Amino acid sequence: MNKRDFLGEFEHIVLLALLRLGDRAYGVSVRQEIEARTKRDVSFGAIYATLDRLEAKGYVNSTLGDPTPQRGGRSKRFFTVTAQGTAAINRTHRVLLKMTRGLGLSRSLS
Amino acid sequence: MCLLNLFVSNENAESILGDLFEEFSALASGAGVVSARRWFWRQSLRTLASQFSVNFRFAPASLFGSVLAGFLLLRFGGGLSEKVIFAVLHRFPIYPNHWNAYVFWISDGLLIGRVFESIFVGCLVALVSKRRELPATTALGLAQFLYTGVLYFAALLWNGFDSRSIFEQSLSLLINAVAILVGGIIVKEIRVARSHHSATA
Repeated sequence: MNKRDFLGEFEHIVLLALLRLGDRAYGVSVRQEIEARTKRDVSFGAIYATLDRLEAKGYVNSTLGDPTPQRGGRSKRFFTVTAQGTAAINRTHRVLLKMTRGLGLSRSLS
Repeated sequence: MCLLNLFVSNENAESILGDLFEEFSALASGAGVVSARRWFWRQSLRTLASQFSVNFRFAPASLFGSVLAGFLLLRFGGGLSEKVIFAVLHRFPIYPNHWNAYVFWISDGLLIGRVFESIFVGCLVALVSKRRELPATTALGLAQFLYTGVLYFAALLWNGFDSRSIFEQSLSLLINAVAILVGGIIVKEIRVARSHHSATA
């Protein structure tokens, strides 16, 4: 299997955030979702760089929304996970489960 | 905002700037403008840094190649403007009848020539780097500044310090490094204008 078929840690987190947000996923909502769930302060640069990579791999699609005054007249770019992206998440998740089985790892965030 | 517009890729610039604006507005109405400004500066700098570094992480070979080619061009092809100026002065001797003009061309004229050479090399490197114009020209400008600076200060240590000379040379190094970046900005702006024109046509 190609090493490109498995997701990096941040790619995984971003794709999961997109799945959680559904059709509301854009830069601000993705950043806030990741920050709320992982307590990790991420930059828009890192998020968009990851989303660009995921789109190049075919795991994500993007569409431009209408410009809004709250954004200084700029459009939102909405992201959705493709079927290939969902398969990649499932593949990575199965591998993680296999690797962690029997290790007795804690479920807490600490 | 201007720096973000330059360093962030064209496809993402509008979205990232819009996101920053949206969160800034929300923070300003919630936590106050001072807190929102601090957040904005932190986010913008981190976004710049990650957008800059991602180009070197995911296309290192092509980017290093264009930076190296630009560096070698400046090392071995630089000084062409100097040769042209001296060739013209030799062909059309203005010394000693036009002393001021002669002094201008062999001092400031040479510096201006080097600046144009740097802008030209910056444009070439930006053209080759395609959508990574600013990271490539910034890296080249920095490499050129450090390399020439180290050589110059090594010569100073050997020959002795002269504070006026240090200031002038440092300024010249900085201007040439910025000129390389200007070349990158010129190419990027032309590319953006062309893509807007073809999108609206």
